[in-house]
Amino acid sequence: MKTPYALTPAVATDQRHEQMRLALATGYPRLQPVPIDESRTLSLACYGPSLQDTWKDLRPPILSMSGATRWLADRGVIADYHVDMDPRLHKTNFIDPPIDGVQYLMASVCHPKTWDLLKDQKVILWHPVSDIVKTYEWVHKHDPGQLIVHGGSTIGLSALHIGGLLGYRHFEIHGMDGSFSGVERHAGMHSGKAQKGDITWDAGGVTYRTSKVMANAVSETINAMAIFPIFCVFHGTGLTQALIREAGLANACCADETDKAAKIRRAAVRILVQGFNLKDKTALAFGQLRAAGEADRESLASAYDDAELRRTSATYNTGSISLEAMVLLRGLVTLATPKIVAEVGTFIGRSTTALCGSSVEALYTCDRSNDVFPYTSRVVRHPRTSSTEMFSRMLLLGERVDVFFFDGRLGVQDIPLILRLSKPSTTFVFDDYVDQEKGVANVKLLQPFLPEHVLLHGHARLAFLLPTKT
Amino acid sequence: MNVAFLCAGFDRGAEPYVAADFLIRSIRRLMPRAKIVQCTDMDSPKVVGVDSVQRLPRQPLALWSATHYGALGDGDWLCTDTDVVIQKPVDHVFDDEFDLAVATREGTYLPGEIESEFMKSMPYNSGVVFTRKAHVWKEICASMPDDDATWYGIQKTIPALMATGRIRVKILDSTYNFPPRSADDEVSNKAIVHYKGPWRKKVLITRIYRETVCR
Repeated sequence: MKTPYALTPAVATDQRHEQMRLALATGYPRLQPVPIDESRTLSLACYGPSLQDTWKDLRPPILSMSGATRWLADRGVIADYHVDMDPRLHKTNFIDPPIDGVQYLMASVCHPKTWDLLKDQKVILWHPVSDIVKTYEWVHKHDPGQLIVHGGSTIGLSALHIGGLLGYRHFEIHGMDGSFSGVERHAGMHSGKAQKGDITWDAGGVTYRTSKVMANAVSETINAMAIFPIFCVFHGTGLTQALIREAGLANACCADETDKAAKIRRAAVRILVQGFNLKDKTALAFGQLRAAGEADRESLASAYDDAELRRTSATYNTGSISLEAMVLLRGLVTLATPKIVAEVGTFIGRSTTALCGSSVEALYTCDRSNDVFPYTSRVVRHPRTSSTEMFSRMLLLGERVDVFFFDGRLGVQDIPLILRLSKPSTTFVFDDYVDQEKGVANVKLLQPFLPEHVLLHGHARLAFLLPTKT
Repeated sequence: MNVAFLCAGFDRGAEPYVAADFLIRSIRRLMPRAKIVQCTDMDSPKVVGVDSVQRLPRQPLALWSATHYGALGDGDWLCTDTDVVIQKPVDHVFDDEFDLAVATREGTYLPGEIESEFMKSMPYNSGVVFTRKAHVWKEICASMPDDDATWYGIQKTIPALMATGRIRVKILDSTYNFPPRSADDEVSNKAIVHYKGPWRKKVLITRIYRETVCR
């Protein structure tokens, strides 16, 4: 589902990074991931109007957010966790005063007043992404080795990711409505800027009033349900719940779909292929990639334009990948969560940027002719270097690659090196897989040596050799 | 001991390079002091991991191989195809005096092969040859019939050269050049396994995948 509106962040990236610096000065511990426990369920309490109808159904542990934490406390329900990531001052009203017994999982971008208010509380910090390049550089420099959470545009969406880091993949979600109820956008008082309810969205035979911000969040929610290996039961009524019902997803439903909800509550993840179900048709597999990358389309479009500016500095000026290909590559790294990526053909860095997803620890990239891609954290540049030289160096480092991307012509001497850098779960991606172009030649060189991989192609000039074993 | 093999960018894609890489690693593991030379044409890429590359213009394959090996000079040379895997140290072969050593095919025949004229005319496979003297290869080149210069020239010339008595010959056990008799033939106790012929190439590729990608 396409995110419908282009919106700019309320606070500029540089200001957000400055607030992160102040947060780090507090010395609070960072949120660390714990292994998923399939048997546990986390209740999310969002602050949509329907929380008024369902709050009595909340079961601990509860992760609440925004004004919901206080609203629940006023009714005698003390949440286990409070999460927030809004950098604006007025959001600190929700934690003033804080509630004893709640553990505060606060994004490092939160307003500096946050840390004064929470000085006697249990606080854990986490870093949300603000800019796909700059935030990584910032964290690499100021808080190396720490996670960056790509949570989405709202705290409700981010709460799902935070829940994942806490070890949950089963969620009971309350108050995630994405729409107004009458004139109310929240279950209770809210100190933020009023949003115009001037947008309507029909779902399930009902016309819902929503806003641009909420409409985007609703789209992201549906996409998140389609992409991530999580199981969610939505409580209450609203636009999000109606769209979840319409989507007919195997892993998400509404609480009043009782049989399905019971099944989802018992479900467990079985990974068939690294991020994909290869029993799906090719189009569906590409659809999965596209859906997974779609959330980052806006930032990728920006990176696409930025990359174009580097072209004038290139020694060897050649073609580059499309925005559609960037979205597919980002979808791949979102689903496959690679740690080590290797790329042949850096050129102006479009694919480099798309491949550098949040899971990537090191992205090795080479370009035989050019040196126009800037120094970037996690990207191990090999300008004016052949693929053979780069692969040889990687072998000396003992690397094993999770994802290869080839946008340069491979030589026969590269193939044994690629095999030595590979493992059964490695995914290989080829650009220019059309007619007699290099992608076809590269697949022909490599495929005979990968008996357990299958070839997918037909979209955005890309071909994928996908593992059938994890 | 030195090892030489012919590897060039033929029309078989990357297969010779993948096989050569696997061969090199098997040599490095067992005989780390061995010098490894790639024999090739004037422009084929170097196989990563060789110590040096010897380039000569292309000729018919058998004649080109023998010319290359002769150009290596005197010394303890194992001249081998790329589709072989070394599984045990073999440098002790050079403890004996000989000019040329090849392995018998005894114990390696598939049903029907032993009676075939093809095998009778070529009792020794030339995919694994130990030599000390460059002049042996030069004599092979000089004696090679033009009709056999592409394929079986070396294998057909070696018996004839042996028969002259001009060179000292050592016949080795088949463990030094053992072709698997089936895809699941137990070959772990062989010193050198030779995946000759198309179906064995597939077995070799599977082995390389298993021992390289799946390691």
